Amino acid sequence: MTRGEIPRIAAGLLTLLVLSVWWTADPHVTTDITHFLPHGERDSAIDLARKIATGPLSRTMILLVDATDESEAVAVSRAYENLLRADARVATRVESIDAGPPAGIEEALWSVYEARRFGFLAESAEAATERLSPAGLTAAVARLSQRLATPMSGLLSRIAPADPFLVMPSLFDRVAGQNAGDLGVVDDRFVATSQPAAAVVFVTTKASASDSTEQRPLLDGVREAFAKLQQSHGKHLRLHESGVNRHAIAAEDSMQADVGRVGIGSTVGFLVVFLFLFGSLWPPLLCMPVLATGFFAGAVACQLAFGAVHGLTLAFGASLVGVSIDYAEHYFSHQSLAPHPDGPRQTMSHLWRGLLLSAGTTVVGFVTLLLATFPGLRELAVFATAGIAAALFSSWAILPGCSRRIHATRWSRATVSVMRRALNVRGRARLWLLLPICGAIVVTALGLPRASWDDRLSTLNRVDLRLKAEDDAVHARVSRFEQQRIVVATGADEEAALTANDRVAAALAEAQRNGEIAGYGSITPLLPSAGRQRAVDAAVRGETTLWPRLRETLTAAGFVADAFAPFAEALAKPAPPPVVAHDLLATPLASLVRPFRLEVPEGAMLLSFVRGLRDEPALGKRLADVPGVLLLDIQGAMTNAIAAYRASMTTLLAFGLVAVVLLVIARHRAVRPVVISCLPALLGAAATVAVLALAGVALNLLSLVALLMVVSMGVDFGIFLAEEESQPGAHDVTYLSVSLAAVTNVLGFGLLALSDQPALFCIGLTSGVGILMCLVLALAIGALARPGRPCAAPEPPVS
Amino acid sequence: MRPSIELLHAALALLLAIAGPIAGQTPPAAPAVPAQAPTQDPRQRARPADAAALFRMFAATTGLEARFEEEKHLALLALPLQSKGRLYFFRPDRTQPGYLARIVESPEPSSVLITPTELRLQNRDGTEVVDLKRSDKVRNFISSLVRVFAGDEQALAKSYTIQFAQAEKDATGWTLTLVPLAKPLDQMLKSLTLTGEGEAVVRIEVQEPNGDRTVTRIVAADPARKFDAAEQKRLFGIDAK
Repeated sequence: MTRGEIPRIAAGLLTLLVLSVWWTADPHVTTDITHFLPHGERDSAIDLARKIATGPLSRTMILLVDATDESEAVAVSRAYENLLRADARVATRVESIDAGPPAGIEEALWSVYEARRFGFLAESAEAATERLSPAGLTAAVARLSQRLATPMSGLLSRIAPADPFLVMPSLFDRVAGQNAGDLGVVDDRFVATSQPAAAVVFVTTKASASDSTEQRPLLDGVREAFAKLQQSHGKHLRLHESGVNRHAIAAEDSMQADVGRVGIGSTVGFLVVFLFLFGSLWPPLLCMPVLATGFFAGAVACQLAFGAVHGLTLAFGASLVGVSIDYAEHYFSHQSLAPHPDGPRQTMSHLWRGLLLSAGTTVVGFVTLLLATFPGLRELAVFATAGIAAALFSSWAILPGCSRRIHATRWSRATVSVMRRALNVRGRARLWLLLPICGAIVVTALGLPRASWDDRLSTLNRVDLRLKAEDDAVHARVSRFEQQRIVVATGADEEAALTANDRVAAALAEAQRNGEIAGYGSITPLLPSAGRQRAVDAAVRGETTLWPRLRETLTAAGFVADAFAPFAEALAKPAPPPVVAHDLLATPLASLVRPFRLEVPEGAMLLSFVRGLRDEPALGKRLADVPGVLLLDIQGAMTNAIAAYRASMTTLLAFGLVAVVLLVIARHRAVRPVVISCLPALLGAAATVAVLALAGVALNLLSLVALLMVVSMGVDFGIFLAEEESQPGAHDVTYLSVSLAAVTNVLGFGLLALSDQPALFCIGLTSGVGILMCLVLALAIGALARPGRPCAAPEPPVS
Repeated sequence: MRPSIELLHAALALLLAIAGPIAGQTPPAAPAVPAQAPTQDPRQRARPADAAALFRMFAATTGLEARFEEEKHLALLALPLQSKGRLYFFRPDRTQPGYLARIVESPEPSSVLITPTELRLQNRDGTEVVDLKRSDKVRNFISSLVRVFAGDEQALAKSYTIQFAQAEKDATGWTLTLVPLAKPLDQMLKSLTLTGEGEAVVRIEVQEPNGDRTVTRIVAADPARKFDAAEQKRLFGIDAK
């Protein structure tokens, strides 16, 4: 190390220190997958799907504990709920734990609705008018007479004087009929009554189901609480879980395991290759501060720009920054095999323009992603841009001052020699170099037209079949509502959404009568729109002849009409305000309303659930006539959104490619170096798509991300070769450096193709095939494009 | 007082034995069941010595058919509601309270069926089913009366005070009175009184807190009734195994 290098090394290390301290002092990492969910215009299908996917439904777990009988299920339910509430990991992370109907629900129903019952007499003012007609009154009194003759008379005789139309009993009946499964209540505890009997506990978390930082300790708490329950109540108890959070954690664990395996494999391979070529572990050790600087720079940049960094961005970003190891490998190769006579710093200066152009093209390629509407891609762009730039600076600052110990080995010299003989051929032998190029063109021509896209969300995330089977089994015992088809009513405000929802309820009732669905759940019985309540109430109170006519009808039917004076008194009173959501949310009735209602900044969303969907097209057609209403296919909406994102990202990538080519043109302003720089990457990427298509592999959004990395690395190969075109000895060494870069990149990315996770497999396969394609094409094109003069290898320093 | 949904449904079963007709459609089971004339006169037998003996007698009953006539005296009505019909009780499994079916023949056909899991009301307007699993209060309340027929004194004692008295002037007469101990039963029922002669229940009277009362007179009863598979299906909805 010379004295002049000390300030540069210090600057490099200081940069690393500042960035690492900045990041580690207060890292903000999120694992919420909604960060990578598509956005859409307000109230579009994808927007609604996203809100539902992140709403209370997705945050609710169902816990079933199998017991011997119902009495044990009740005891277990109480004990388990207490254990869950006592566990801080659970208690601090849940919005609610529901193991039974909330206390006071009956009283709340009465207190909220009794005074407002006239507004619930019918489903419309017209229907109310019909009920109050002479024929309607006769029917109502007859029904009252019938009901009083039943065992229900004891209760009805107390309600009827003020409510001869039996509005309140009807309301209670509708509320009781909402549940669709085998969920019963025993001693105020939810019990699954299908065999075996089981305690049922609903746990709604505060955090998104995909926020593993919060969900992991919560799940640990749930399971440890159950272990304690088994200790106190017997090992025969069995816990069954259902929840989106389990899938998210399982996927994350699987990905981490795969990435860990790949990381170990690539690190071992990386060390072996460096030992083989440089006879020392010093070069890979020197790479560590370069990669670390890039990583921390990317993380800090994202935190400054977005407030936090997503875990996936950290993972992908780290891999992208790993591309910057190409710069170090390029430098080490030249410093060991073709060093500048004036020392390592001069070697770096000689290579600097190529390194700078290489980093610049990578940055330009990712900068275009800043225009993506996908928030995760914008984060990736910032990470990659800052990381690559910082890694390049670190390479410039640190590597030359620490490279005097890096020497060639006989293996590296032998490799260069072999490659030179193979590539620097003359005459007709050069035609062999056309083989890979022509092959790539033919493959592209054959395969590219067959390229297909699979935009389903399932291609990005493998569903754990065991967990899914458990989910299905739990839902079958507790709730049989459709999980993927939901009717959504939206509006500028709550009242507008409720008005739309009134029409949804009417449509679903009609659909049920026509056999299109077996049943449905709706908030309308409890919360029709205020407008409807006022209209119906006005139809009742405004009917001035109602009491005299009703009195006459009651007397004719054998009733003591004076006993119904409370009804007449209620008629004379002014109408109370209609029931609104707030009236319910502040009472135990909130649990009845929450599943159907999502609060959103732009207004309100009301959900209706169907059971036994038999004719989806007919139901969709019926709902299509209702403004502000959508029969939402959540999976389908996600797929369509991802397809749209993929299409827009393809456009952005195309712009990125154009920008890269323009940058290279601006540097060289000559055809040959531009062709050497860009053609391997462009043709390599196209051939990669073609190969995958011919292999029957459908592409997806992650394939595009991987292709972006392929192009970035491929352009690096070409740029390095183009920069050294005029330096015969150095050019031969560049064959080695680009080959070394390709090997380490395949070790870093390509091994992901061994993963079971579709997302990692896709990235690994695409990048593995693409990097090798780019390498072969870069070597062939680089050799072909040179003037046909054999060159003697330079004399490397003796190691 | 604010009645609740559970009380609403609970009243149904408690008053099953004394309920009047649910005017409406002829229930499918009722007309097909041949009227079996009671073959014994339990009124001639010795009366039970105490409540425990009475409940033992009830517990020994696995099947019952009875004809009844009923009057409902409600403050809302100018005249009592009158009805006639048949009552059926069947207990295939001693671990369960049993099945109770009340079939009204006049003035309008209707039926009420209580099973261990549901309450089924049928009239000319259709069938209404109440799932007893949804509320244990409803289920416990509805099963109260069935437990009377099943002789489950232990279960009844949790919710009622039980008073048994032998008639002083009648060598065969007795009364059994159940008074609810606490809410919500005491909101629905003031007292349930069974009056008997010998081993037969001849009168059931329900007093409600608001003064309404229902009196059911048992005209004839067969406490040793057997039900074949077809009758079990028609009356109680029990499928053959």
